[in-house]
Amino acid sequence: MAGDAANRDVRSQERFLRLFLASERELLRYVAAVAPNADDAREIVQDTAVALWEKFDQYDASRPFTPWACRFALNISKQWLARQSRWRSILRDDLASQLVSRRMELDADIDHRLRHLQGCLEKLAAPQRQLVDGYYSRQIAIDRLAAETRRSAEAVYKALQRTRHALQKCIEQAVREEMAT
Amino acid sequence: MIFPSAEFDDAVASACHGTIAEETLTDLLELLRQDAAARDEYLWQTALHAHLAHAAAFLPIDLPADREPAGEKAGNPPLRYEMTGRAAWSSYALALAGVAAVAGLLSLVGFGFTGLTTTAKQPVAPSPVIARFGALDEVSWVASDAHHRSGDPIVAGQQLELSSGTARIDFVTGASVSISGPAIFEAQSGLAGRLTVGQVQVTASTPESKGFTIHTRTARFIDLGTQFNAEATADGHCWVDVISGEVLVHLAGSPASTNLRQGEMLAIEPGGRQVSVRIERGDETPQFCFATIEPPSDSDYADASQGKARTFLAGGQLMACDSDPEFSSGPVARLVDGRAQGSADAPLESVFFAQNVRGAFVFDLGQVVTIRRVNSFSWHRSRFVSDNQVRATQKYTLWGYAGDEPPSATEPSVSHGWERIARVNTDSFFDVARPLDRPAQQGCSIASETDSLGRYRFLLFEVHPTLAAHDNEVDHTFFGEIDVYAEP
Repeated sequence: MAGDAANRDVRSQERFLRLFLASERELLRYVAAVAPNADDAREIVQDTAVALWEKFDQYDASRPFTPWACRFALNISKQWLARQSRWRSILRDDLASQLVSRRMELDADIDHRLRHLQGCLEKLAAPQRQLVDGYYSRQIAIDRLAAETRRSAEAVYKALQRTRHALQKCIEQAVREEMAT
Repeated sequence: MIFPSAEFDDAVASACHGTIAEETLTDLLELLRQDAAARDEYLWQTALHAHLAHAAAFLPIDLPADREPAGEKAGNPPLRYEMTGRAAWSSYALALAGVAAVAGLLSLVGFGFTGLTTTAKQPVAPSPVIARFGALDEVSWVASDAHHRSGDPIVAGQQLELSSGTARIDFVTGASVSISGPAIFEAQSGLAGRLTVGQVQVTASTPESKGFTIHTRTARFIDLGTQFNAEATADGHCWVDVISGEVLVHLAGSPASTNLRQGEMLAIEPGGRQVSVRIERGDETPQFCFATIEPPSDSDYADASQGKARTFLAGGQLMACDSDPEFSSGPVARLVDGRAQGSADAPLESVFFAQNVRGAFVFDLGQVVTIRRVNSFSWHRSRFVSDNQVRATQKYTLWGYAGDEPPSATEPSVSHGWERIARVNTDSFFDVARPLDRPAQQGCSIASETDSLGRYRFLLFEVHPTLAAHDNEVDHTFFGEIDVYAEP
């Protein structure tokens, strides 16, 4: 009997893991609407994983997992925001829910735009691509990037902002050209 | 703040970078409340940032090469790096292909894990053979169409999914990894593998295999010429114990590393706090000496002598033996009296719950304080049964809460508002197969690789009975002392 229970638990873990991994990226994007900093979003999504696993026996397998997980993510995000003195005011007038809800409405449009990201990354100048690679792909700390490029941390942040702006413009241009054809 | 403006763009960028000033954030949020166009632009900019950032979350936290560069501190990428954007994006595509493979597998097996397969990511070029199957002991694979035999090649990026049994993988570098099912393991290179869930034992005894690395979702374990066990669970919890030699442990996203030596163990909780649990065996004297954990203390924040905290029972019942009071538990206050037990079987100097029930005690620290670490101590060897040390096992979950009134402690959970800080199960750590494998005196230290475990007023210890599957004894831990190191 104990063996059966253990097997059930193991299967349940496997099943949860597969569903969660398949939804994780969507959850991160969803949470980013109220916690744009990547480390914060990861922390919230990890807490969401813990909460989902606690309640996994209540998950109705006939329904899609991601929307169920997103509801948890919103609650966990609100709990997290309530603990952050800086971000707490996003909960006032339910702005957090509004942002998340609007983010879902824009989902298809944002997905459409992001399909052009790869092409736009390839068009970046070498130093900009290097910066994107260092900060996002390799997750090198900003101080280290600053030391490597002999710039201040503020200058590196500004360069990242400019690079994202360039990507944004490139993507919007690509979408316009696509619509024109 | 108005929209559109450079000020708005700067504010969103600094929110993405985590550097936004409080005043600027207040202005930004006020603008977002009032201006729908600003909201849409904010969502687009944050979506782009998130997309770039979380692409990396699906990549292994790898160095560019297979192994740690000589002379560099592991975990810190080399100062000089080459542009690898395309490669990184290809890797991202590969990672997504892996997720897609999992999804595909789901549709194939319909959530049933019968049969036999390995899932290989779609390579963009022929992948090199990096390992071969060694001994396969009663292995059944997750899907049904794989028929692997000892000696079959394994290519870089091949994912192995075991339902049960043990498969040994012999890498070309001389490292070997024994995977115990159920497990999902990806052979990444001759010097690296990713453990998504399950248990592995790694042996890296050749010079070429030094630096062999196991990646999990929350940490990586770098073998420095040794043997170690590692385990990862579905929610990101993982642990490592060193059988011989040394292992370097890196937590995801942290430049800090921890060196573990033979006999040492570390558990890592998922989450931004980067919580680690260190468990050690004591010297079995009333002084409670451990390799690195300080002995029970009367100078910690929660100690009764400090007068700052109170402790109370929040679930279960302490053992009360009316017929022979000598076998009853001591009061909860014993946990904070600055000393642990004076001998190995001292019920009245210990705090323990009645059999086979889950118990809970709460530390109310009087105000929200920054928790640096929590140490717990236990000691038990039965005076009647020489191999009964079961009450030395520590098995509990530590929760925290920062509000003024703690949520229900009956079934603490994240959804009720408790924050889970750490899980402790020392029997898992000590790999107890026989009663005497279990150290009679144990110390457990819960700490964080970041600055603290968090800021809380209440700490809840949800204590589980020490039932072990291999022995039928059900008893509760003899806790001697719990120390909470904190500051306002």
